[in-house]
Amino acid sequence: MNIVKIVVRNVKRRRLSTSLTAASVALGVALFVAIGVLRQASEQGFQRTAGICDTIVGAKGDSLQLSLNTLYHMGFSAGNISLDSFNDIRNQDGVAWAAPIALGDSYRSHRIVGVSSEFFEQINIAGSGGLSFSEGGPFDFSTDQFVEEHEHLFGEQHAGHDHEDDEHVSYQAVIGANVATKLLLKVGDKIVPTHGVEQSTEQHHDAASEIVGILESTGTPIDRAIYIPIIAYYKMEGHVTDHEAELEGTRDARGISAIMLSTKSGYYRQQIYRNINNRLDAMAVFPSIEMRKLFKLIGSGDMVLRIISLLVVVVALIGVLVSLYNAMGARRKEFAILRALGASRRSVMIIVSLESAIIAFIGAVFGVLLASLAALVLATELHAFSGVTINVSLGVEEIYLIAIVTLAGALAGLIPALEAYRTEAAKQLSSNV
Amino acid sequence: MIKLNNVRKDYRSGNNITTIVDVDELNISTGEKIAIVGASGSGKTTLLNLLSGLVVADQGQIVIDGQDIAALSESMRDRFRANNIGYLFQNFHLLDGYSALENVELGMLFASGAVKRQQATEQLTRLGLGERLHHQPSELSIGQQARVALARATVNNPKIILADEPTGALDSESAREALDLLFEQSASHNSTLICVTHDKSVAANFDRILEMGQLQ
Repeated sequence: MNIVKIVVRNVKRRRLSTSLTAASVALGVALFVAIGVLRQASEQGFQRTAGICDTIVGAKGDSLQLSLNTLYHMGFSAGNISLDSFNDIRNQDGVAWAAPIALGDSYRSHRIVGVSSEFFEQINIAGSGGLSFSEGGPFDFSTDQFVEEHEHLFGEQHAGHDHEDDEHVSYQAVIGANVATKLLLKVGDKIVPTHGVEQSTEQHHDAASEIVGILESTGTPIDRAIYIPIIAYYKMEGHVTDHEAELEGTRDARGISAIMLSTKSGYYRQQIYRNINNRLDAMAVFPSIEMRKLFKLIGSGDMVLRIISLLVVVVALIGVLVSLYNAMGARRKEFAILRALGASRRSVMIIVSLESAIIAFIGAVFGVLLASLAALVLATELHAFSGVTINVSLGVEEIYLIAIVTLAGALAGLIPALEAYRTEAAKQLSSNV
Repeated sequence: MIKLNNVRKDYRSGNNITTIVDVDELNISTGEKIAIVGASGSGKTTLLNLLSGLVVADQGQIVIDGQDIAALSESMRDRFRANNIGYLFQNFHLLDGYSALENVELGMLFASGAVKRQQATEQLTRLGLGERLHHQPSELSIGQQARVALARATVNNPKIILADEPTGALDSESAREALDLLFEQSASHNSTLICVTHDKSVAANFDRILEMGQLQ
């Protein structure tokens, strides 16, 4: 028998009250931890994707929209840039590589992205290097080929060119790891793109593409995307004419949605950024900075949530206090007996404070476990939604949090502990109850 | 040896002051068995509380083996009580939620030295509760509860056993048995036994009977 055993015994004896108060502490702690862990892990996950390329170039508009649409395949393209602009930009001094991107179609909720072979060759993902294939390989369609065929299709001397006459277009596709797993697709299967990125029944039967490669998982939105040779976009029936009709000239339907661009060095990075932003028809954004801005914006929101969750913890600790305080009346005799057996007032006070601390500790530990579980579930959802893989891990901060909540629990227990301290043993023992 | 000299304890209620204990001089030898009798409210229990250090006298000295316990700090009195005094209550005051064995272990918890489960087990076994070690107080008969309380009060081999109406809740047969065990336990370690009782037949078994009103 020792003091800790007495404390544990008392906590166990009041199972219902202990469980309820510990559960309320756990809820607050879980909210606090989950918000913090998810925010940090999400930011890291999104920043990892943002590192795929230095710079994204697109039509003038919202820089965040451009980043989200190009890299994370969220939202819609703000506009197109012309092939001439693309050629100007990619031929600037200091451009290491420039990959044209065309967006706008989908296949069973997975975005279809028109790219050139450079995309597969140049993309670099922090921590895992370049893209690799679990099955098959990339299609062979270079940026130069794209430029040549684009001019062939839309150049003045070739206006009105019919795709059925073109033998260079290769309807092939490379799919991300998640697409293969989720849709049970394999090399050799064919997919028929759907017009637009939302639920649509309008299918491009003329552009059924054969899967030639399946990418290894990257933990980025690449896993959720389907890649086709960019020229195929312009070959799909109705694409150019529909866009022209819909947008009434605000968008060049023969243009490209965006450019992923990498520079040779930091010096060129700034210079190219300035040059592009000085143009009237295009803008350049640094996706990593866009993501930082986005998370700064989210940060002020989650700070409010974290403050609310801290208040939940405080209210829960007050609940511990009230629960112990209410039990004092019935426990005075117990304390008096302990005093008669030689316990000091301080020992009795420590017993009550420790009870409060243990309830807070149990709540905090369960809270952290609950937060881990919730974060894992939410990380899975986030991956399914955006393709961004986030690594949820608990660190020393959570251990500090458990210690702080336990200490706060002990402090909350001080008021009932003082009541226990003040118990007059002789008076309690003389009442024949 | 216990010496009380000019000990007085008052209780205050508003402006009213009532003297509960007023002892001019009282000497109790080591190993002596004293019965304290007196009317209800005459201060019998308060005297036990003064001797245990749970209550401090307003004046006078209570010297136990040369140590004036009134001069000790509260924490030192607590330590003194834990090491030297065994307390036995009328209603036994066993703690619910603790087995018989654990209740006896509580008697050792605050004293110097480790809590020895073996010692608690032996004490209960000596008192005939070897088969009831892990029973809760509510699972024991009144007589068995009295024995657990006695085991708890005596497990530390205290110098002084203070008993407050130890047979008050028992039938005559159980009371006789409890008293025999109490005498046996105090004799085995030459403990001084001071017992409050209102039952003259119980008091007759003690070496000396002190009437509260006649201690002045």
